[in-house]
Amino acid sequence: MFGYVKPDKQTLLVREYEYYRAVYCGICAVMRRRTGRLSAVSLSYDIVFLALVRQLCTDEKATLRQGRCPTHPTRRRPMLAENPVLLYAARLSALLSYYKIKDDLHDKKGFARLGARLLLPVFARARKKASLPAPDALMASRLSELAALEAQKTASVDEPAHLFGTLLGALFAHELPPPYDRVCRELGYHLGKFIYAADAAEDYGKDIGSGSYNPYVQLYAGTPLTDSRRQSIHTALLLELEGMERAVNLLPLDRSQTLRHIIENTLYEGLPDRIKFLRPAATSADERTEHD
Amino acid sequence: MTDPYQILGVSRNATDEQVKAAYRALARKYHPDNYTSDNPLADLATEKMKQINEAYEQIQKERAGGAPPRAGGDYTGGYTGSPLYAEIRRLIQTRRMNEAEARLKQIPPTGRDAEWHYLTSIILTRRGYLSDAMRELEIACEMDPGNAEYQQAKQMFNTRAGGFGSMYYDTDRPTRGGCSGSDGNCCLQLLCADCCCEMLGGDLIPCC
Repeated sequence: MFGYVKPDKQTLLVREYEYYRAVYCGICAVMRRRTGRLSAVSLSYDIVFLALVRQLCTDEKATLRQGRCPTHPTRRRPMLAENPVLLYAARLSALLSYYKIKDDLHDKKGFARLGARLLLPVFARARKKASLPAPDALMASRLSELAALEAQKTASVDEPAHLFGTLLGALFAHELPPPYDRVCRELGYHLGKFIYAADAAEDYGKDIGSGSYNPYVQLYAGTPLTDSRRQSIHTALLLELEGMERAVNLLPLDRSQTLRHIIENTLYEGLPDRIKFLRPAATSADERTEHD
Repeated sequence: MTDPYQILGVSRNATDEQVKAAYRALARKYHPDNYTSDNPLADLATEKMKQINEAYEQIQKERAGGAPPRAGGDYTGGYTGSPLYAEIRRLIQTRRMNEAEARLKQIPPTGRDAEWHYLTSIILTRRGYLSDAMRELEIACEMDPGNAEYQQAKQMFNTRAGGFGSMYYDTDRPTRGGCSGSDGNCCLQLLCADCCCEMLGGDLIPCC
């Protein structure tokens, strides 16, 4: 479920891409400093998107500075200096990774499980350093509710997706000034539902084989996904993005053209791109010839 | 009050046509149809819409021109079917979703026909459970492939989804064309979506 939410690099302007990377590097640097050197490897694009949206809503000061990072030690590169938005994003990233690894320890087998076992202490420490008690408690309770739904093999996409959506909505909205807390809650809600459902749809074939819980496998009883079924799933997911779009339109978009374009690019290019595997075969073939 | 030209995002020396186009685009974006009472952000959108209307009216006053366009209309379709389903449809139209759902649940699994799945999909849609709603609609279409109403509902969903982001894709940003296949046809699709909505007998989708 990680790394889903990112802009389409090819259609960003260069300065927008550079700003995006400066935010990414900024959060990574804050993580190294605040939640532990190793914890920074887990930073995902989803968190960067959250930071961009919250940056627009709080209008915190965003200063670019030149900094070095251990992965690219030879060059200094622009990164955003720490501010409350980046700090929250960094802490949240550590927290999310902790729960992700705990989940892997439970679900995965073989090397993945071994890796999770080795990394768990790192992220248990990172989680402590993050010290975000309210989001932490919320995450624990929502994820256990979600696990219970999954254990029952619920034959619904929206019930588990709704839980995940409310969680993400709360994390987006956390302590933002009104009315943007409400806008972000709604934005995060639809994004969360989209991520959950799109992720499940993508794993359909794999989960039939492995027997892991997948709401679409329950709904379609493991029968093959015909073109018309794919189309239905695709439609429902696009309409989820439409719900997100309505929230995005109510963000204070005129505060920053750069942030606006990155957010809109993510919504209209990046996210639809994640579900293009559900589009009818003919269309995706056209796409391929068009771009190659 | 803030500069009305700034609110509409046009310069002071824009032509009447440009002002009108900007107004229309914004009005379409924040139209109450997009933010029905089900949407938790409806009040914010209303506020935004008010600003836009006021800005447009002010500019019009300054320049002396025609009145802003208004559109609307309600449609309530007739329905002939079993009395129980008619009752449930009535409940749905008066937005008594919980009662409608309770009635549907009383019908045992063996008695659940295409109409049952169709009505369930309407209730799920209202709740925003669109993935589940699409599945129910599919089952309804599979059980009764000849039913025009179900087909139309499915088509309407697809058309509406096809219109997603049309305003974004219509601008001259360097896009890769993500408009579900039919680029350049988005306005037409939106119009179609509008028409189909109204054919559905009231308010299956609160957008129209």
